[in-house]
Amino acid sequence: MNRAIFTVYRKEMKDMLRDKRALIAIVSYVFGFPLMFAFLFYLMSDDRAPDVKSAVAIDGMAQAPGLVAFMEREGFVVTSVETDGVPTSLPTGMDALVVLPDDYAERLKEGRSARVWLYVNDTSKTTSERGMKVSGALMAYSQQVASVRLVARGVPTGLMAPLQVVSADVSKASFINKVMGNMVMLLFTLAPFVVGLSVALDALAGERERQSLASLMALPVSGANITLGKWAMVASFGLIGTLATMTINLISISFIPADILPFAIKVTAPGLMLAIFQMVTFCMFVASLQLVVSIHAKSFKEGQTYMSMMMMVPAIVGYAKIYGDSKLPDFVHYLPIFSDMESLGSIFFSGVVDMKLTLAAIAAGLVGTALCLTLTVKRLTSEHMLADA
Amino acid sequence: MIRIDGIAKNFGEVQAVRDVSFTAEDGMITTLLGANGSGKSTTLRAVAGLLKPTKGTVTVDGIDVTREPLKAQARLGVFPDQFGLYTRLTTREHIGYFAELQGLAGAARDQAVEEVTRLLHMEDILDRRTEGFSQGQRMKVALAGAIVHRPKNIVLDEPTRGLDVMSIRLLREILLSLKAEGHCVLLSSHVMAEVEVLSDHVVMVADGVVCADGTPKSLVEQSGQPNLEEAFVSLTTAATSTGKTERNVA
Repeated sequence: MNRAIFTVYRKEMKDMLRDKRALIAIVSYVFGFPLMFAFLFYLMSDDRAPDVKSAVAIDGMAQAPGLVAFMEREGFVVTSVETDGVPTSLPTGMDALVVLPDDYAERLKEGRSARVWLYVNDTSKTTSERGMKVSGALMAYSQQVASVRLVARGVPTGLMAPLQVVSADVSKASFINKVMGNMVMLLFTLAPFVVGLSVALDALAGERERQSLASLMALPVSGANITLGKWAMVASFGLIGTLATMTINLISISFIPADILPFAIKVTAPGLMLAIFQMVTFCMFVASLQLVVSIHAKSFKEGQTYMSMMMMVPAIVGYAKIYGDSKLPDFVHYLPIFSDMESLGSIFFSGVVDMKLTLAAIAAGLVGTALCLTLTVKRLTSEHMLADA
Repeated sequence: MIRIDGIAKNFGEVQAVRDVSFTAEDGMITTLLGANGSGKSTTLRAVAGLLKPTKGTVTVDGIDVTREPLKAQARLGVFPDQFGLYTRLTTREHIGYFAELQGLAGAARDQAVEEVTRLLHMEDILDRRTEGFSQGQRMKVALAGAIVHRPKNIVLDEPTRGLDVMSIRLLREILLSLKAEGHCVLLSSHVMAEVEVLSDHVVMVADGVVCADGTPKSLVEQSGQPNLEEAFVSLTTAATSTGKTERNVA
C-alpha cells in the first residue's frame, strides 16, 4: 500500500475507534438483531410439548356422538361447552371451538346439510396450524358421512370423487422459510450500510464541518490517496461489522431448536469462504457509495439526511426481494444488493453456490466501487469544494 | 521564494482576483494587506495549490504550483484561515500525522515533532487530546502541523484572527524566528499594528488588484500620511475611486 494511503488509513482508524458513535453503531447492530430474532422466535415457539393433543370444544356435543367419536379417533381431546351468541375468544385451553346448530342431528338424519361454525385463533403460527387441523378433521368427517349416505343409496362413492389428488411440495423453501431466510440475508447486506454510516460521514463531511480540509489538501498528497485511505477505513469498519453480524447471527441461529427455525442453514466451508469474499467486495462498494454521499454534505447533520435517504435503497431492494421475488424480471437478480442477497441466500440455505449469481455480485461490487471512488476523488479535488474549505 | 505573476481568479461571474503580482523573498516576512473581500485569501489559496488561477502563474522556489502542485506543496507550510483540528487525536498524533504526510517517518518524524513542540512551547499539551483546546492552543497545534517539516516557505492566512494578546505575541516571535532562519514567510492580515511590526514587505490589495507594495516605511512616505493605517486608506481609496489598476511601487 502506498505510504500516504496507509498514513491516512491508520490515522482515520485511530480517530474512528475513539468515536463513540461508530462503536455504538457496530455493537448495537451486531448484538441487537440476534436479540430481536431471539424474541421473534420466542413468540413463534409453542409453549407446549409437540405430542400434546389438540383440544376442541363443541357446543351442542350431545347431538353429535358420531362427530365426537371421529374427532377422538383422530387424536383430539373433545370437551363440551355452551356458548351464548357469537364467541369473541376461545374457551381456556382450547385450540378451536365448534358450534353446532340446534337442528344438527335432525338435518343429518334427513340427509341434508348442516351449517357448522368453527372458531379458531390465527394470532400465531402454532395456534393457526392447530385450528387448521380441526378444520381438516371436520372436512374429513363430512366426507365420511357423505360416503355413508351414497353407499346407503346404492351409489358408488367414486362417482362423487372423480379426481383423487395427491399433492407434494417441490419448492426449495416454503413462503415462511423464504421470508425469514431473506430477512437474515437483508440483515447481512444492511450491515455495512449501518456500521459504515457514521465513519463515512466523519471522514469527509466531518472534515469539511470541522474545517480541516484545507490543511489536509494543502499537503503534498494527491486527492486519490486521501480518498483511498479514507475509503479503506470505511470499508474496514463495514467489513468488521458485517463479519461480526454474520458470525453472531449464525451462532445464535445454531442455538434455536430445528423444529422452531423456519429455515435450515446448510452452508459448506468453501461456500462460507466464497460468501466472505463476496462480502469483502460488497463492503468495498458500500464504503465507496457512502463516501460519495459524504463528500456532497457540508456537515455531519446534512450528511445524515442524505444517508437516511440512501439507506432506503437497500431496504426497498430487500423488501422487494422478500415479498415480490417471483414478480421481478430475471435481470434484476444480477443487480447490486439483489445479486448479493440472492447469492448469499443460495450459499447459506441451499448449500449450493450459484457461480453466476456470485460472480455477478462480485463484479457489480467492483465496478460500483471504481465508479464511486472516481466520483469522490473528482469532487474532493474540485475547486468548488476547496473554495469552501 | 514565492513569485506571483499576474494572477486572476474568477468564480463564475465574480472576479475575486483581477491582477496580483509580487514576490515574497526568503528571509523576509511579506504581508498581503487588504480589506475583507479584497482577494487576499484567494491569492494565498492559489499559492497553496488549493485553487488554480484563471490566468497568471504562481511559483514556489521556481516550481509552478499549477503544473506540479504536489512538488510545490512539499516546499510549503500552509496555515489556512480556518484550521480545524482532529479532536479525538492528541497534539502529538495530530502533528505526527501532518509530518508523515509531508514525507517524514520513524525517528525523523518523532524528532521533528519534538522540535516543533519546543519551538512553540507546547510541551504541556503534547499528549492531550485537542478537544476543548483554547483558541491559542488550537493555533499552536495547527501551526505546528504546518511547519513540522521545516518548509522553506510558510503561508499564513490571517493567523492572528481570534487570538488573545499573549498568543499574538507568541506567534509574532515564532514568525520572526522563522524569518531569522531564512524562511520565506507570506501572510495576510488587516491588522495594521501587526503588519507594521512584523513585515519587511507589504503588498496592499484592493478589489483584487495590487495597488501598492514596498516596505511599511516607504509606503507611509509614498502616501504622505503619518502612519501605515492612514497610508493604506489613502492608497487603496485612491486606487478604487479612480479605478486605477496600475501599481504604485515604493
